[in-house]
Amino acid sequence: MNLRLQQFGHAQSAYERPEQRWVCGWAAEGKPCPHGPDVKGRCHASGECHPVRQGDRWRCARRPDFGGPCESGPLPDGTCCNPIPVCQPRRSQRSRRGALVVWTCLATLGALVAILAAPNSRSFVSAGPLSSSHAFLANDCAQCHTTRDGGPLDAFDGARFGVVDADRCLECHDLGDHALMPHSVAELPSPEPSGDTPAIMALQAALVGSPDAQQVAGDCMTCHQEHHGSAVDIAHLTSRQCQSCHTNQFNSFEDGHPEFSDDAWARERALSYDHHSHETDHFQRSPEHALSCAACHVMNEQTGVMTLASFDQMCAACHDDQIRGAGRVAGAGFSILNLPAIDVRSLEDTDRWIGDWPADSAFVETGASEFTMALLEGLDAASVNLARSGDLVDLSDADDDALDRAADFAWRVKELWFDLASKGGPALAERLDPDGSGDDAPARVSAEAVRAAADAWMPNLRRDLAMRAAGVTPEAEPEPVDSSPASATPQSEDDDLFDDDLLDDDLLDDDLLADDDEDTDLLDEDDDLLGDDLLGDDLLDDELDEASEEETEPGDELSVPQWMLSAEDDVPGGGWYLSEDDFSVRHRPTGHSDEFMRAVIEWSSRRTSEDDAWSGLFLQVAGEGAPGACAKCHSALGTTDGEMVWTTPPSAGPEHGLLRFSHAPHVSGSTIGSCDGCHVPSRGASNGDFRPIRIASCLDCHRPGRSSSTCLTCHSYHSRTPWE
Amino acid sequence: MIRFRTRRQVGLLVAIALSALLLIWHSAMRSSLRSTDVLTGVGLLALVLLLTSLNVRKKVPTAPLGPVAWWMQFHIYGGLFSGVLFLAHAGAGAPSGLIEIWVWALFVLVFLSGLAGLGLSRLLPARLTAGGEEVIYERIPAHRRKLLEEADALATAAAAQSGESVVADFHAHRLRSFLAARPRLLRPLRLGGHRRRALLQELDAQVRSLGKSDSRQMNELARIARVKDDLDLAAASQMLLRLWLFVHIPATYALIIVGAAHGFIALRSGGLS
Repeated sequence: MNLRLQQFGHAQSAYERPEQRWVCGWAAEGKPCPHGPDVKGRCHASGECHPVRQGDRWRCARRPDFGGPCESGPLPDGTCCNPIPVCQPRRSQRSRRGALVVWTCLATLGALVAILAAPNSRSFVSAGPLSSSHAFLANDCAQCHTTRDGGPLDAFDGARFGVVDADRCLECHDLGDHALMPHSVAELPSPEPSGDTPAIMALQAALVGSPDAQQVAGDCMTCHQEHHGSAVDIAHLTSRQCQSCHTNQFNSFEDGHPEFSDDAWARERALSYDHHSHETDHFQRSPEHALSCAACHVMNEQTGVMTLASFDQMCAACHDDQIRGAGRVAGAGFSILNLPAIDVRSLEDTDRWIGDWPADSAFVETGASEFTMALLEGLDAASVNLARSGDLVDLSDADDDALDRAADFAWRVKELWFDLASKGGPALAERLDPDGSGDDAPARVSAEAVRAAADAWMPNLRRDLAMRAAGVTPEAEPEPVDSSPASATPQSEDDDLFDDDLLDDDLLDDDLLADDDEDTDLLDEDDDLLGDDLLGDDLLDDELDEASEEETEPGDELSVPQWMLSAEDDVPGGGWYLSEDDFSVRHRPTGHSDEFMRAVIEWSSRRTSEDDAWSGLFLQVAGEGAPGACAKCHSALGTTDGEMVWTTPPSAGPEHGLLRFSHAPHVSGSTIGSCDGCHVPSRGASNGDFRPIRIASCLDCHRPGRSSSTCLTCHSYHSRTPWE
Repeated sequence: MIRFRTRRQVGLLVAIALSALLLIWHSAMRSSLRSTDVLTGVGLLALVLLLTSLNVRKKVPTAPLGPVAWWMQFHIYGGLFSGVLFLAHAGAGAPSGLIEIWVWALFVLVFLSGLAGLGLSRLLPARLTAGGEEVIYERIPAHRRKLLEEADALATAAAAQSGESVVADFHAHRLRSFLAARPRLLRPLRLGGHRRRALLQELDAQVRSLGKSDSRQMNELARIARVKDDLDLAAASQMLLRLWLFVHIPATYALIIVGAAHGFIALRSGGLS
């Protein structure tokens, strides 16, 4: 710039004071007055100077930087000859900035107070929208925030300024008894440190230490930070965050993650299945069957959980007849109620009368069934031992005490039969469930069958009991009754307890027991019964052969069908029947999940834990070789929390509370394609029929660039699902 | 006296070191499931208050609180560090709560206006010095008026002297509005200015085309126009150096108020961020 614009010096230029609040209104025009406004911004200008009186004259006092004294000088009255119009002073720039600051602060404070005091200002106070799962709570802060008493802001709306109480979270999220403990478990394992902690985590621990249980416990917000919008996953944790508490730390899933333990994926299974024998043996003999995972294992598309197909789909083709007892040597049914073998002759010889009792019972040498024993109330230990020892069959050398006990036992059995025959199901229910708790499922024993059996084998049962109650002994020694229904029926004609209808019942149908010509049809080679698998059984064939060899006399031919056509064979589909072989009311399983079998097994299982008296019954119906062969597949029959465990519930993954696994993405959408990508068959492996799953099989996909491999991919923080 | 470059290097080094330490600590805390919201929030508010104290320091120049230059250095590098602290507190994205958005916007405004002021104070003074005479900002209107009066007088004299109105007409129709105009605010940032350059080129062309007498007068007018152009540059530069404070300072006080309210509500609500 060539032109020198400004001069400095008291005579050439004014002294600028930019910090003053007001400046002359003419300054913006480039011609400020020499006086300027006062501190309150008022203009006092009248002329370019304030003339000074010297004696009787007025002298111009214009400042030198404004040109010095003017030529004209003041007017005679002492006023300046160069008047200046009054201006409108303006704030200085600094003053304007200061005023802006003040007004900004006032406006900010005012806006804050107005907004906070407004009744509907939750959206302003809120730190942001809630996550999608909590969005329904958006208009009710008090659902999570607990009001603090006495706070100054409570006057507005305490809930808006209250703390978040973890207990409020637990009102909806059930995490068990130890919800606020780390991992929601009572106690965490304390493994030995591996010592190869990655450097970054060692630095982190050195800087801030590891979080202690006290820090993590009791505060849901340590991990779950809300008010970050609906799209934010508030359950997300980084892998490093997960590891910060752990004793053994590693870099990532593919670098340092501990190998899966052999039993990580193993679990107790109530249903046993030998994959190996089915593949190499059974299915080889049945070419129409092929070992296919999908034939039995079905994935629930919604939950991703693998479930088992039904029995009918998986097993019925081969095992349904087995359950009904086809081919069983030991009999397809089992004795529910029976008349045990007792040496009646010895009792009579010692004047101990027990009324009707099948004379043949001593020959079959069958003890009381477990069900019968279980229903005999108040039986002392000595009597139980006597009944179970088999000494009842031969009492010839028994002492008086044993004979008394045997007679008493016989009468107790007869009372039981009478009770069941006369009162039916209610009497049975009363004995099964004396407390009336409703746990009387096995009371489904057919009372009809019991009555029919009583009529057949103890036709004078009521009379006998009445005479015993009256202390009367028959003058004439009672003849041992014939065990056949045909002979029993006439003796009960005057008995109004058991009417003829019962004896005409199908159970005692002559077709089964009478030796008429129709029965001979059963021997026809074309008959279905003879063509049944039962007769095809090798063992039965042997027995039949032996019987045929022993009974080759032509006149004895009719005895063969009587032995063969047992009552059990009359109910090939299962059900109730009478067995004269051991004077018992028996039940043959009707098929898989037979209602009565289930009831007896579940009921006796529950009782077994309370009273050993029932353990025998449980073993009889659920033990190895029991009718129905339930235990063959249901290998871990028992109760859990009072409930029968027939099958292991479908599992979402390994039996570890902090692990989770879904088959869905692995089966349908991945490159694995087949089950043997993970489940490698191996005979005798600790994990059943398959080798333990190793981390290497996961790393094919779960690694950076392919699929997620964070801690939360497979692990859950809480030991149970919060909405479980 | 520590050189400016050394001072800047030391300041930057300290700010970067502190920022790195802060980020490492913050990452470690987050990874160990410890919340840093309260610590970073309270620290940020305290730092803003400290930075604001520069204004107080300047109002009491005689107080034995060290040179203002040191305070300014702390203000600059502390301000840069506050940006890192803010990132650690609020994260990289914008918040979703209304009051948090308010605080976030105010901080961003203060931080960016501070950066703008830092840039302007590094750029414009050098240009002003290179431009020649350093005029006092408050006197610029008077200088502008003086130049206009000189140009008016020159044009009148040219018309009287030559009897022609070329110079006077050019002054009246083309030059006077330029001399009377206030400066364009963005001129120092080299934005616009086409009309000004066209006018000066036209002036030069007039000088070459006129007669000797008028050419001298026109040459004088061209010199006045260039002085006015330099004056406009000085005025706009000084105006910019003052105007950014009209954003930075009020926003800072608003930030302190809203930030304190946000901290109070957040702490009372259980530390929710």
